[in-house]
Amino acid sequence: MATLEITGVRFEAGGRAILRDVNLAVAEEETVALLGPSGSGKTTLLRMVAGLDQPSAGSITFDGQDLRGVPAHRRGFGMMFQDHALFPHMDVAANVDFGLKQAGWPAAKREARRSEVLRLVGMEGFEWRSIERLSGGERQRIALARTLAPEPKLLMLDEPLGSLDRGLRERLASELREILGALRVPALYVTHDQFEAFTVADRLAIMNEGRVVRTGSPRELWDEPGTEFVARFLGMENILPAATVPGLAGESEATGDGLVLVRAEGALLADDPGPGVVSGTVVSLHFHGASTELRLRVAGTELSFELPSGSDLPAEGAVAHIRPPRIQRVEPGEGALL
Amino acid sequence: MRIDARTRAVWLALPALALIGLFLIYPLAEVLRVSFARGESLSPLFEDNYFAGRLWFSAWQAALSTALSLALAIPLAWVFACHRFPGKGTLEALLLVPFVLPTIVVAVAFTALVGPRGALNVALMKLPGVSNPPIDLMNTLWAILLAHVFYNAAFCARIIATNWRAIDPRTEDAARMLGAGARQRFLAVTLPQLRNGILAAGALAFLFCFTSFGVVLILGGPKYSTLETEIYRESLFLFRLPIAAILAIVQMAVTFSAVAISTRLQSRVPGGSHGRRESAFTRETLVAGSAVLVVAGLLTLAPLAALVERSLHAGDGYSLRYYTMLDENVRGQALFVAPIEAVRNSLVFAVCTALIALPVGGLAALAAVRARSTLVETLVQLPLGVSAVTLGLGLLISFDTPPLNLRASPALIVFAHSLVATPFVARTLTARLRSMDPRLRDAAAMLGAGPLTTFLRVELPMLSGALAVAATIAFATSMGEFGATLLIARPEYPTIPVAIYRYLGQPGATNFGQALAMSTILMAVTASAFFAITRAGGRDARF
Repeated sequence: MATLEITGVRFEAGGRAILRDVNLAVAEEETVALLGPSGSGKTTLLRMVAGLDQPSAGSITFDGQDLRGVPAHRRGFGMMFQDHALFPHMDVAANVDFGLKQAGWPAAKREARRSEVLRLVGMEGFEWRSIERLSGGERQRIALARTLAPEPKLLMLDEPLGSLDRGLRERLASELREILGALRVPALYVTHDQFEAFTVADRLAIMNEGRVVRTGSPRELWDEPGTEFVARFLGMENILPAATVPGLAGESEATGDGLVLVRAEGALLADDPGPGVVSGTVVSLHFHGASTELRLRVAGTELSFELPSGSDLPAEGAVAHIRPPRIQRVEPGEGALL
Repeated sequence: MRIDARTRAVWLALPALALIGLFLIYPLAEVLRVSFARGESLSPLFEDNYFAGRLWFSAWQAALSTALSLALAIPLAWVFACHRFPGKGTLEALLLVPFVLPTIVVAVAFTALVGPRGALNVALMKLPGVSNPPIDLMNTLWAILLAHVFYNAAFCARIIATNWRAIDPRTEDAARMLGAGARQRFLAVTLPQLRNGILAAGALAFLFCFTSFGVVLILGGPKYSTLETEIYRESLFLFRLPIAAILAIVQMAVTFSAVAISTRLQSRVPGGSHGRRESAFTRETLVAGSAVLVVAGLLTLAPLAALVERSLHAGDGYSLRYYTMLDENVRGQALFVAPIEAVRNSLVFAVCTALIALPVGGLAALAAVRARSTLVETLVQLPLGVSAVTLGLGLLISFDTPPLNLRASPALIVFAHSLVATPFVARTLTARLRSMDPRLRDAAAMLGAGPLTTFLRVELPMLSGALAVAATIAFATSMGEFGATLLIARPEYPTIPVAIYRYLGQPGATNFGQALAMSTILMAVTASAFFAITRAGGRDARF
């Protein structure tokens, strides 16, 4: 049973449509990542669910109850903000206690809960530290602890790892996955980083220009991007007209103007052209260690392949034949990203 | 709902708008009405170049004062923005002291330095063969210019230094790599980027000098007269209210333009810091840097030192006689009450002003930030555009007759002071509210806190520093207000500045000594308020 249901939500600000007809459901205990380029409306949607902004049209229900008119501080949801929004005039303990006090927890229970969440995020002993003296990663953990403390019925995380450097981000993303998994509440996770979304979420909702354009598990989306937009957003750039790939031309006569996605991972060199093989001129070779990126010009489009460095690679300017693991159809458009 | 909340927030500005409406707009409308009243002869305005002459003098003395202030301010900004040296913070704060001093104190301090009985002359007359005071800058343009530079240089330097720190130092490095020498780098790269800061500082300095009252009245004497001093003379001594009103309107046109220009320019002065590294002085820059600091230091400290020294010099030796005499009301003296009464009045008015201006200005700041309304913000700043004497004239005309006969009541003084202090309070708090992350309120809401709890537990604690600063500014503004108070204060309720001015107008060393003593007290109060602000408020202190 879906606990959070977003139906036909629209939002206009200053005459501009930020959200146009968003539909999304989040099931009990499910973590859904809202993934999309900046400006696609992810954070706005989060603020609608939080009650910090009100939709112009559409409905948001939680456990069947319409949330319209319920102010943010009465929804019982938790939100972790981008750049954390910790209260700078309070110490760690006071930040974590804030929500507990609002919820009327007695002092003894408060203290126990505070220790519990600080332990959960690995920050025991930081109670009396001032916020100003915490590092970026520490702030992130305290922000999470503060959000989790009052046991929110729904958790929202807005680019929680956005301001951290790459290595720390990857480590914390796995930790977040474990914490969210143990919590058993629905969660919405906003990010623009597909690897972070893959790590943390059970399901992805890809957003573009104010709409959810695709939902599915990370695996489903990776295997079948379906549209050019999703493919490009997941970092797959080998997209070209179906007609230019030999062996596909005949098969796709009915939709000769369609696009295909040539999967780059696990591609191998072929000796001859043929069905399922793309042929073109080698534009450049970039040595990456174990693999080498080979850029191939096929009918005016540049494709990129990762080939094992050990193989006998063709020289720049030579004609090469490559057999990708799969060539799959994608619908053009959905607002081309690049 | 968010839109509604924004609209609702505008109502928070209501007390401020009421204060401004009743004690600024209404009096100004009355000034306008009086200036158009028939039956009064306006012919004196056009006799002997009277009107054009005052306007011209106001403008050019202000322009010259501004140019001189900037000439000192730009090198001073260079010293403070680009260098580090021991005692820098203290020195920077010390040089800013003049800006927060009441004009009357500045005028008296310069009298104590360069007047006929001033410290400089007393020292020079000790030399053999000098019997008469060798320098007398009193009633000359030089005294006015010196006092204006004293007032504005460090303040301008502060604005320019802020701009300077925000310049990306890599632009200068790039110019250097492209072969530009120090001089070319400054002229072609740094100076153009400082333009807005210099212009904004200049516009403000011009505004202050154009409407300068106490300094011109006391140091310029009857020979020099700006629109501001003329409005005062016309209304209080010649009783030609229509003429005073017309002068006030012309002056307002100029001041509003200057305020509009400086506000716009100042919004374009970049803030923040680009990680500019402050370097120690090199062999070449040490001489220039020290020279700038010595000039600025002497200009700032000499008048203040002279004021204190002279106030302690009674008769032939040093004593506290002028201070101990403050609680006596010698019959026939300038005041109806003992001078100590003026001190008491000033303190009471200042506390009342802070109590009014803090909530009124604070709510207006909340309104401006919450509703994101530049209109509210601008309206609240209106009192800054009206000169003190014009305000006094307006209040004099408006509140003289029933139903609003407040002339006999000291409350009128408190309202006038609150009106003048509110823009500063609102400014300080607006800046602090703006710098607050708006998501902190969202975060509080997500943790279950309603709007009132959020205000009390999150916003108010974070505002406490700025509130202390604002309260201090309101207090100090009231203590030092001179122009408006001089017009509306009844003899029974003099404030310290009014009492000082009356003493200055009386002959004799004792009266002058009393003026010096009271000025020293006022200087001590305002300077300590200022240091309290810079120590406690830190980044919340904005002027």
